Amino acid sequence: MTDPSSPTGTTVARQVLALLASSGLREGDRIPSERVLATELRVKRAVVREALRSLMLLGLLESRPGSGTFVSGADSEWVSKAIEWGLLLGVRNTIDLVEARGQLEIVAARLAAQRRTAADLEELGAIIEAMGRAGSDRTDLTAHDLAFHLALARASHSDVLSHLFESVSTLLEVWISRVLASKPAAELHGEYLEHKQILDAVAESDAERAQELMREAMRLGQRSLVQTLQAAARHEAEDRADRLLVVRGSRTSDRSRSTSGVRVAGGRW
Amino acid sequence: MTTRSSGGTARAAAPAPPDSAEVARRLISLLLQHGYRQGDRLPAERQLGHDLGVGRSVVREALRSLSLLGIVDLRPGAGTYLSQVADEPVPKVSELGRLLSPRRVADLATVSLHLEAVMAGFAAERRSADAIADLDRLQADLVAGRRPVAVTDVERTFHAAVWEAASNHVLAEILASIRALLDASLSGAIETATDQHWVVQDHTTILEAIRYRESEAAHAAMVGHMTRVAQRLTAAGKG
Repeated sequence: MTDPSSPTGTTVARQVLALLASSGLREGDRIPSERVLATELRVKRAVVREALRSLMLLGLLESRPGSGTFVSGADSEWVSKAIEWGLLLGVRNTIDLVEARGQLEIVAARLAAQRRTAADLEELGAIIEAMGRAGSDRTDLTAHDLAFHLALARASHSDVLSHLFESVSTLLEVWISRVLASKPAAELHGEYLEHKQILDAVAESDAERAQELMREAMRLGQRSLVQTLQAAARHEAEDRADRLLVVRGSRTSDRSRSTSGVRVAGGRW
Repeated sequence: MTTRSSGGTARAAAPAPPDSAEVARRLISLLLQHGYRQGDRLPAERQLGHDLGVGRSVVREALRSLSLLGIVDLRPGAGTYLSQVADEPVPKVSELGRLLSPRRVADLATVSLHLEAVMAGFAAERRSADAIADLDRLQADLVAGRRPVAVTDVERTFHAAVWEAASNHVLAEILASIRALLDASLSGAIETATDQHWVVQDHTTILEAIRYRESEAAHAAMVGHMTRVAQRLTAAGKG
């Protein structure tokens, strides 16, 4: 096997992708054998094998024992991942992330009202019920709150949208849980009613109303998030604030950082 | 150095994403949270493994996956760097676009329609005088026929200018990736002189709404435009 740090496998992997695309293969299609690919690309089979493995690790290809290797099908997440990678690299601004999350969710509410199935309504209804039962149990309320948003995004029946919503939420996880932790239980419980209204609109297939209710919920939610971000910026060490809250258009110059490695506070994920 | 027996595990209907893909995602997220920028050298694999709580071989696999997407540069003997992708904002994604199924193209088109409309609304609220000048220049060039360019290029440039005016970099990034994925399908779907006509007309309507800060009108005009784009995509997918 070639040195793993060598770019050979990478280059060949790109060539394999280009070859598959130009031969008209689509998601779910079976790809030619290693031997055929090696002949086409005029490289050794071992190099092809390594390239295929990289593509599998990316989720672009999947191997089904006994039947060969396939371009990953409809249930795979590579399309969303490809968008997510671009997103991760491009992220500079937490405020933008907060706003993006809100907009994704407003679109999700609209699509959910148009496309929800009976099973979706059942799942969302169960979460709302659990929220109602949670009373003032903060941990329960918080968990149900997050579950509701993710379930609603899935009810949009857009894989791209629900995966994007999940990724953006993950990037904001630290902040979202901080906001939830700082809210009085009574306020959390109030959100139960807000969520219930959204669910009713979704159940009635009222896309406009679902969208508007979500817009209002997001407006309030975003304000709490932005306030939390601003408080963090005020109270925490300057370099940390600088990294996390780079306000539009005022990115400061390079910050000091250790060259030995990333400084990670344990459990901050 | 097998980190995971690919294929060895029985594949259920929806296989879990590979470990190293997840590690790749967390890795990039970690680096960005810690202020790493394009062109920066990454810490050693061992250090990254320690920080992420995974083995070194998993880190290595993750880095190779990222290098495939053009996100990191593996320079043998010199270390690993976050790629400079300034001139290619969505590395390698367009290559993948040709592998999309019609169903996926439709999903991407739907998400893109709604988010483009959001951005047009934001652009109307937030546009600077400079942003309007940029959009005007693009339109003037087109109308005067100074730039006999492909319709897909016109589309791309115009939308990028709207995103800029909307000033949400995250949504812009998402839309840029979606557009890169749809690029292959779009260039087959929109390319005739007739297309040039309605595309330019749509753009003019959107631009005027943005100019006069009419957020709802900009939103509606963009929905109309993206609906026409989506119709072409669907038609091309069937044909």
